[in-house]
Amino acid sequence: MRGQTQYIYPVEADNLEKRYGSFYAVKNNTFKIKKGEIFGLLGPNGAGKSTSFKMMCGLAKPTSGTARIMGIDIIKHPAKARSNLGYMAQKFSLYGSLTVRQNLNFFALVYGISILKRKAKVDEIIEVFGLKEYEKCPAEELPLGLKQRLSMAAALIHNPPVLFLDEPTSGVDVLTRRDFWNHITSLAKKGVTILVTTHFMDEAEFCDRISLFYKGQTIAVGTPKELKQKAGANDMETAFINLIKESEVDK
Amino acid sequence: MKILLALIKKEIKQILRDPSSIIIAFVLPFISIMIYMYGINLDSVKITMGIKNDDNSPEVATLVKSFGHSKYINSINYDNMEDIKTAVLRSKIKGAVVIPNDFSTKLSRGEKADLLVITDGSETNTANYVQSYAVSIANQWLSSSKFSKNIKRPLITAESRTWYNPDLNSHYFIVPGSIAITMTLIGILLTSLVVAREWERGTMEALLSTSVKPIHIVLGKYIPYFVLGMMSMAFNVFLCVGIFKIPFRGNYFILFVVSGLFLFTSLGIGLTVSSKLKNQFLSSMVAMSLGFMPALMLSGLMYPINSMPEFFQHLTRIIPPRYYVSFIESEFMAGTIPEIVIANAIFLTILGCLLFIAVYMNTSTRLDGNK
Repeated sequence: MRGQTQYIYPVEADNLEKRYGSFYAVKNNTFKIKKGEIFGLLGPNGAGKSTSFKMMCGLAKPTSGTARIMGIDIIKHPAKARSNLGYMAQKFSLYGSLTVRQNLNFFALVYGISILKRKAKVDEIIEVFGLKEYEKCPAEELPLGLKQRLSMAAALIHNPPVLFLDEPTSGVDVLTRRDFWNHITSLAKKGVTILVTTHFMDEAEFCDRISLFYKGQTIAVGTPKELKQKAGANDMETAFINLIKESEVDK
Repeated sequence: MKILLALIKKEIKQILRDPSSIIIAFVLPFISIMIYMYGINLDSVKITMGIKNDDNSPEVATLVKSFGHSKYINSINYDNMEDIKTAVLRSKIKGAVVIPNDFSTKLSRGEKADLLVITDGSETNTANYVQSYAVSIANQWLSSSKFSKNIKRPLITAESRTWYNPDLNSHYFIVPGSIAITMTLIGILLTSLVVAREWERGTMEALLSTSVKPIHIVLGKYIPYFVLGMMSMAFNVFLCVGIFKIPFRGNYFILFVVSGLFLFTSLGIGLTVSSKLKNQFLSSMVAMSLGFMPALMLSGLMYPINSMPEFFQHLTRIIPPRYYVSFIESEFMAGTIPEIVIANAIFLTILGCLLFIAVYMNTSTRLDGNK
């Protein structure tokens, strides 16, 4: 039974809630992501998408509710759940003074890859992400686009079935962004389940499904097409604004 | 284990990339020992004092000479009181001896002769030296002069012999004691930054999302800085014994074991503060005042613990350097004394373990751990 759930929904959020005093940063947030799906969390700054995101991967403790990664409860078994997870933080979070290769070597080991398999794995990921010519360069000296690429490479080094990306493209140029989304979509095609937060409306179109976040609550979930239809809009931006207005009226 | 090794290797690479840790570990001991060796001196030093001799008998002239020959005194001869007054006011001399004109007459008659010793009360410590030097030089001169037959032999003479530090050279315990200060500084400086740095640079976020457990993070910090700290300790001992020739009468193995325990406590202070505050600037400030000040003031190195107010005497019990200073001074000066080694080692172990627990408890596994 559990095995089947695991297969269909590698990522589940079950009534996640985060409360600070009487303020709800996130309120009964529930969703399930299918295998190989790109699921986008969309919302204005401060809507609680980052908080949800951090609770999903065990970096923040929910006030109530829980999340499951490959069927493993993130609160009960954080280390085990995280081993199925690649996480790329919004802020560059690798070791600046270490080189590209040293960073990847390090993350390979802390993600639990054996020393024997490490070299092959690091070589492979350097190849895939085109970091060959920078491998001896200290990470802090890389331009932003390459830093992001390195972060993603580090998050994927242990071939996780689930990948979490927190605003992976904020601050990078258009070309790098396109390059990034090529990687993301090709990973999804290989069966990696992806949760991504963004505030770029054009990027939302690349997602298979989107959850619209506003004031700590999910106000709409669906494919980009569904959301646009529901809001009676031609583009995501208008759809987004309309849906937010509707939710205000409902209250 | 594999994860721990990866963390340690990562930390070592960071240490090698950033020379500041190496500077702290090896330049700091050097500077510190230089200061304690040449800057601080608790012994009597050569004092400049004036002499005015109003008695022109040849016998008294030899007394003036013996002032000039003393290794503790620089003497300057004066002819009138006014000059002495100005010299004292300008701090050119720390005091003066005036020999009255009836000095030798009274002595040859077997009467009590007076000697005027002027001291500068604005420096009480030096004033005491001036007085005791003058008296002891005069007495020495007297016993070897022709007036010696007039002295009544005292029935009791006190022969003093100083044990523990027979040369009364305070460097012999101050410099080893300074290792305690240096090791406190090193332990704290090396570690107070390192956990906070991971938080500030966001690398903790990446670490926490991996399979790393808190114990890995804690040991991954303790172990590399322990090794670096012990290397620094070895360098300290080399400077003390090899370069500055401080006598060492103890056992090197015991010295390093107990020093290791002490380093364990210093690292604990730095890491606790760093893990708790998660801010490099704040944690280095707090760790310095929490670790360094008590080490200097309350460890018993500069001020003896049993002359402190009672409250502070009790307070010193929770200060690791107190145990270490007591150990290292006796290890250097007196050799290995099992009771001292064991008692201090036990207290250091207890404090070290308590601090280790504090570090572990303060190591958050979540980003909002302290919100």
